[in-house]
Amino acid sequence: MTDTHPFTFIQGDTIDFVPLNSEHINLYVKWENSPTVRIYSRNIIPNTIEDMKRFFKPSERGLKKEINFEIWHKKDKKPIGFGEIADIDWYGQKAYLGLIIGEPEYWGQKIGEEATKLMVEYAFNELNIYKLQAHINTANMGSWRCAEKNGFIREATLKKDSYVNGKYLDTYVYSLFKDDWLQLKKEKQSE
Amino acid sequence: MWPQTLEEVKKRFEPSPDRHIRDKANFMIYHKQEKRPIGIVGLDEINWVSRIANLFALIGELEHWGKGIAVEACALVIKYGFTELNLHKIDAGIFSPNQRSLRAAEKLGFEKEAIIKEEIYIDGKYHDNHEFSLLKRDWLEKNKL
Repeated sequence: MTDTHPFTFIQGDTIDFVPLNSEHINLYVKWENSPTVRIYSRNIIPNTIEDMKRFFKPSERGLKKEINFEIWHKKDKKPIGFGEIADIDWYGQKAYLGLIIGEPEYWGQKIGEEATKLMVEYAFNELNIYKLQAHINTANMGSWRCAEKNGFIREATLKKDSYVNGKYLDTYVYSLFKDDWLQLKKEKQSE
Repeated sequence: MWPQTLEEVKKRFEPSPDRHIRDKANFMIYHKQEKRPIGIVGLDEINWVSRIANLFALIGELEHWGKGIAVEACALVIKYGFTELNLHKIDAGIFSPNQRSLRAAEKLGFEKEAIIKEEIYIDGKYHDNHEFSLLKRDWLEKNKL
């Protein structure tokens, strides 16, 4: 049994989703600027501590347009990345998923897959979202594979959509509908 | 319940703050033949997560009472709520002395869910609040859509 974070919001096996922590702001800024990490998340302008502080402004009344989490590694007891449900369209019941594992030594351990699974569940079951999307550039194979493992379908390819390391790359648009996700869950249970 | 000044009514026209999700959709009821506004109708208290809203209607010009205009206006807003806003359920609360509205609710296919006892004080007396609701799937079936 692994320890639980005092502010656990969503409980997973390897990781928990917890609120952003202003004491970890230096870490967040490190991830946003890290040459290894930022390439895939397409952060092409340096992020300052002040930029990150916007996440800690008291939230407006009413529904949020974006929901952010820190990803907490349960066994190692430390934050390793963040996840976001962004551009929430409450009228159309759509949203985008975003995910950064900021510590590369945690890459390749299926943590992204678990994080995606937890965010998908939260978006469909708690926020009553109908369609989830993710924009992932073609070089970011780790990300689009973890989307596919979670049932996302490649809906479109945006040609030469982002400029990375001196080259234009295509962007895949992945999407997952609540109905299809429910169906997948049913199939998995009956296996 | 108390006099409304022009300023108070104007307050309702203030735009919602930037990035704020609107929780109401209000309409003026415009009489086509007479070419003038005669009332208001709309959905408020919209809960975008649960997809539930509250329906209200007011025919302000008394000579238009009893002509089925409120029913027509509500039917249009209900259709808007289900087919454009993708609501799951529409609620309406009607106070017991308002017999006309109680009949209108039934005509529109609403079901009475509850009676909240002595919920409002009007003219020296307490009255019950009749809580009505209409589910999208029942509305679709009733209208064969």
